Amino acid sequence: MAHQSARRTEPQGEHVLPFTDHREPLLSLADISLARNGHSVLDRVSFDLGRGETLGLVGESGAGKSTIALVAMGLLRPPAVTLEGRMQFAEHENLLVESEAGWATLRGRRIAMIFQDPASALNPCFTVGRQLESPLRRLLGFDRAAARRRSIELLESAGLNDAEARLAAFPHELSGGMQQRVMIAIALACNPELLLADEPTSALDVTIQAQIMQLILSQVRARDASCIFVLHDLALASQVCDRIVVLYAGQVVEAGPTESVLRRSLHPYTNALKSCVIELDTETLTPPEGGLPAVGAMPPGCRFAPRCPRASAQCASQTPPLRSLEGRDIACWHPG
Amino acid sequence: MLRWALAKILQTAAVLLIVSVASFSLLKLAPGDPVELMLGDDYSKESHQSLMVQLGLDRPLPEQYVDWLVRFVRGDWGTSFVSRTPIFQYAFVEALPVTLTLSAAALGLALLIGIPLGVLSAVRKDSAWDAAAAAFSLTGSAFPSFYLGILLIWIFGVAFGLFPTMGFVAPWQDFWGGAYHLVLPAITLSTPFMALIVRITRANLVEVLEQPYIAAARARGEPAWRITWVHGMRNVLMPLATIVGLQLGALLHGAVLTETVFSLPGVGRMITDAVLNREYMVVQAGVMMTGCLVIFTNLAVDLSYPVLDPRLRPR
Repeated sequence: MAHQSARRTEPQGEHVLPFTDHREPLLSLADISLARNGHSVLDRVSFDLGRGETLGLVGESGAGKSTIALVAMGLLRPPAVTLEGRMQFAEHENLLVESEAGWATLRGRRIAMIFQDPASALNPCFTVGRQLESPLRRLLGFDRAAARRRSIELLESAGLNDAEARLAAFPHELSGGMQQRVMIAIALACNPELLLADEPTSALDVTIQAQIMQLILSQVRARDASCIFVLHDLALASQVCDRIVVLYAGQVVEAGPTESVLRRSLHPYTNALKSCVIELDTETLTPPEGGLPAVGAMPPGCRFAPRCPRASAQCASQTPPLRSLEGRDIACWHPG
Repeated sequence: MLRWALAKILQTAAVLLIVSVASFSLLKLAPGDPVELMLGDDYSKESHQSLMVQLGLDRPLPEQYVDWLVRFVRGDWGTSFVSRTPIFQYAFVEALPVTLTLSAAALGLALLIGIPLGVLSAVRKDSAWDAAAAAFSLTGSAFPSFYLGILLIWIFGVAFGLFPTMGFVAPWQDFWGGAYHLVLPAITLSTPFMALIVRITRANLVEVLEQPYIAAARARGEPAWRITWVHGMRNVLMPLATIVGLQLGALLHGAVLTETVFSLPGVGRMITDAVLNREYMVVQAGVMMTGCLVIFTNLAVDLSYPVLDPRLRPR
């Protein structure tokens, strides 16, 4: 199932050109490094997200996926962390140096986020209606009645029946799936251009995961918005994303169209991730053994080298640069 | 919901009964024979007996208790031996309002200053400001109130002569005069309480601000002040109410000392004087009043929980 092709990827010739998006990028991350307490969490992360595109950030827990989402949402900013690089969003040249006032025009309005655990991402003390109507009234200037009408529409389009009654409900009165539908309705309330979905189904029952992913995709497409999914499940990513960015220990190791990245992974780490999801009888691939290097104790060369079956002396001492190869970006001395 | 509240109120009534039994026993267990005390040194056995009957002291204890409780509820609290005035008038009409005024002023001051200080500390966590607030908080709770009271009297009352150092003026008769007289005692009584509120507010808000729902609120564009004061503080109210409720007993305790230091004619001083004069009936009245106060405030806190936290609303 990991080999299932991403539906919206345009066919690309292999071995031709480095991967480029023909559409104008909505979000462009260039060499973003983030350090917390002097320890590197993200190291020169770069990728582009086109308008209307769906991108999956994939990797193990601790790889920095959620951190990227928080940076893109403007929730992780100096002085809590040190940030370098450039993050271009639409007409904003560099959001990393954007003022708080500048961010105030973006958060919730043009960039929105869905969180992993809806039970803890909804304020337990406020009703669904209050949390949903607040951005409508504050950011879009709706009056009370209009905000209420729009909230009902949003909840209905998020697949909640009895929407009007739900407005008066407190989060704990809803099931996990319903809570996540509410989160989706809140995130999409102002028709954002960019939606960040941080493991939107990890905390949910397996049986409703597909429904929720489908809901996010259809809502995003209906708005022609772009979406970044943070996922640890490569199989799921392959089904919903146009492009995939594989992260390891805060670095991009492989990035490109879903189909080419999955059909022939060039990075041994992507291969290892794939082996976690494909059929058990493929014995050629070994799942990644060991764990991510600890923050503050990163290997000097390639960060994956200690776990890599192809690691050489060069890997241990020199960091491989992110370069274009076979229609994707890859950071490996021994791709193939 | 109504049934739940009713159950709470019934529980409170049960506790009140226990307090009343304890309070009644106080008088029975107190050393000395009240009849002897009333008759003086020289009395006959007959007069002793007749006074016993007259006071109902010859009847069985449960009967005496019920009789006492009925009279207590009606406001017939007996007469003070010392002042020869009805204890109800003295304790409930005169002393209690003084203590309530002082406690309310101290509580108001503690909340009004303590909460913003705690919020500021939490928002500017680990800043110089936070350290200063922590230092104040520690000093405030370590300072004994009698010492602080004397210090304030000495500095603001004696050295600068800014505020009166004793006496009570009813604020409902002369608001500014009353407030003026309350400044030093209210500061004295509220300081340790304020220190506690700063700490509780800070600790809880720091924890709340790390919750995902705060990040989610920021992600949907809530401005910083609303994050702190609406989304954050709304979730701090509940632990804060718990602590305030629990500590109101301690506040009444502090009122005893403060009233003594500042010569305020409140319940605290009333009880102190009564203990010194062995006026057990006055002590009893004081115990009943403070006991009821603590119990009622705890009931109020209990009843406020479902209002403060929707998750606790019984269905």
